[in-house]
Amino acid sequence: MKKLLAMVLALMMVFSLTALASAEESDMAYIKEKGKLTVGMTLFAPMNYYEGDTLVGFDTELATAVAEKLGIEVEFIEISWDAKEIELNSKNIDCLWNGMCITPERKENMAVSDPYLYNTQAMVMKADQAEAILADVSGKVVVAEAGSTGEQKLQGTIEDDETVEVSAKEYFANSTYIAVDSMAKALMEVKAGTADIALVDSVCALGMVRPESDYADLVVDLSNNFGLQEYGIAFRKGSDMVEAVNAAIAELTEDGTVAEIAERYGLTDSLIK
Amino acid sequence: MAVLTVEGIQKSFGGVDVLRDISFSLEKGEALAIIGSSGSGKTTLLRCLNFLETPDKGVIRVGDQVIFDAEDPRSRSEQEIRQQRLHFGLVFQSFNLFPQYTVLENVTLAGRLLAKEKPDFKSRKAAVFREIEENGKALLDSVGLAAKLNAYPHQLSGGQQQRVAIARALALHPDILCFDEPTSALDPELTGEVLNVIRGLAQRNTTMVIVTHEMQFARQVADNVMFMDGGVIVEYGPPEEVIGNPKQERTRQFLERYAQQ
Amino acid sequence: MSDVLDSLVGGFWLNLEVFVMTLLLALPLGLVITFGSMTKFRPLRYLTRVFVWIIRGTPLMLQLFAVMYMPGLVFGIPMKSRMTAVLIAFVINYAAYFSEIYRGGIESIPKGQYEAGQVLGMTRSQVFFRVVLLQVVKRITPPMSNEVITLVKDTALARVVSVAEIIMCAERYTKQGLIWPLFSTGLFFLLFNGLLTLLFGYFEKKMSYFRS
Repeated sequence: MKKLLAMVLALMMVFSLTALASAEESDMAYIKEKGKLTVGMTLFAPMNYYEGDTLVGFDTELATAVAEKLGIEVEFIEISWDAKEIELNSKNIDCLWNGMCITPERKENMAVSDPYLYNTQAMVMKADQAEAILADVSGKVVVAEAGSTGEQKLQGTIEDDETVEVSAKEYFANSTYIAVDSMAKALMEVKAGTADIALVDSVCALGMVRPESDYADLVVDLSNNFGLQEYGIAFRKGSDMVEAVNAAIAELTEDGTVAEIAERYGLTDSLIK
Repeated sequence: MAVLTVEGIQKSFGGVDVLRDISFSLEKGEALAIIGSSGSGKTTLLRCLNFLETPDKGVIRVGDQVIFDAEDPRSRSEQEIRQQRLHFGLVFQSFNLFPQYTVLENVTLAGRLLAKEKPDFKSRKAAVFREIEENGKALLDSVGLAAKLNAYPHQLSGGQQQRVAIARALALHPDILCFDEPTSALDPELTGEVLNVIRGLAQRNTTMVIVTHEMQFARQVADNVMFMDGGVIVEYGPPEEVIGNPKQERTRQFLERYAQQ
Repeated sequence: MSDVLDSLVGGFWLNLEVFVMTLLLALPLGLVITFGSMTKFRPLRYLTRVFVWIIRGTPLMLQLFAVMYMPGLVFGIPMKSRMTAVLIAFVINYAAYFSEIYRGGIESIPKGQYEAGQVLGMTRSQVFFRVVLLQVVKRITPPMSNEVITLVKDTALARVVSVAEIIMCAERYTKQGLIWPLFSTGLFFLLFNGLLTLLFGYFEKKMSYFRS
């Protein structure tokens, strides 16, 4: 029975691999012919979010500027972050441009651009509990988005850079880890008291925990350095769009456009010069 | 002495008087046919006798025992009603056999449930059940269905189902057996077998109240005929008078309309 | 390959746990709700029907969030166990659906069946258990089998409050660039539902000896 199941699964694997075979012909030619770059993203401030009816955010503006430079239109599609690889490979979207941390794994599975923004991992807690939690995290429940850098740091599946003194895995060794499906859900868990700490991207945490938001009673703590990450843009594996986008961003950095956008979203310090 | 006495029964539904002051009595061994157009109240009267409706006013006696008195709330308690309604048996227009039970089980089910309430049930269980089963088989034999003991209702014709229903009603040995238009739901060619069974019961002096549209049959079988209209008894008497020679104008009109159909 | 399979089997075990527990608890609770929605005592009847309306009128996913997070957000008493939250939401949701199926089944039994039992001197409970119940069971088997098969698939929703059921397990692989585990989870659901379909078919056949 188990053998049969294994065989069926193996067959399915072969099928899915052939069906989703990555771009053989030029990806750029394909996108240029469409005349439109379809960006897959999830909504989170300050990268991609709505102000009234307009989609704004650092990544929104940067992607729009790059597309303009390349002479094509840009379209944003909200996806489930869980399904990002499938969205990309099935050509529902052309790239992931959504404050995505660059990891060795992602570099292996997708074509990733040069880094354009720094990010670090922030601990988000209830303000009135922060002091006690920071004093001792053992026995506490920590949540992170499944598949996120935070999760990988917690599980030690991502390498720390040399600036890290205590890794997240060590720091939270005696805590209970639970994966949730988004960073927003991680913050809600903390607010609802079903978790004590959310380990999320600092860019995301700072964007969401603001005095006027429902998360005003939470605090973002950056005192523990769990390492610096870099944000990049991911295309289908082997795509030739990467060079074009890298070149476009370089030009936009040169003429000051990128700095201008970063300033609007308070990310000047996070820019990779 | 009368086996059934009904005195001043009244019943209204939402302000409409369906029965107004119905009184009559029934002798042991008598067959009474109730005729009348639909809406005349005859089915409601039968349902009152079987406690499927509660009269607003009036008294019902079986023998010298008061089994229902609208003035006495005790006679309306569920336990009381359950005991008293066993004086009556009712055969429905639409048979209402229990589909999941065999023919024999339909006839014996109620008897077996009642037997369990007897104090000496546990010690005599096997004998009691055997007795109930023998009684059921004999009844089914008497309605001509000895060969169908283990059939399920849906395997029977309408006429056969109604004969099972009659056997089921007889199984608890009621004092008075009531029929609510027993052949109205049957194809014409199947009414004969059911009427023959009822005819046989009449010959054995079973006390019966039969609501029917079969005038010919009522005339042959009934000792007395009651014509109802608008919730009152318009005419009452032997069939040769009420059907053969009606005195009331309303009875005549009804019978004329009936003859034309 | 085999570690993927182990992980998926482990995940599906949770789906089965949610399925079995929901069924065990929601089947009787549904009957209680049915009696509430059919009682002659009006306030209770209206209350029950409003309750059923709310539960059937809102997405199960939302109910999962509500059970999981509302205690903490509103009352400051966080939900302790995720599995408990999932079971509470599933049991209430499915009991509401079951209760409506039961009610439809009970109301579809002709009045004559009750009356035939009554005139034969049966008590109310004898009429219900000896005469009506089996007929109701036969009538509600097709809609119930539909609902039960839907339940199997709905168990995948447990992942929205981070109960690591099979699809959540599979998505971990998707994130590592391995796509096939996600689609192969379908096989688990298909196999199990196939089994249930056979079981219900057998059950319906068992009851085909009478017509109601």
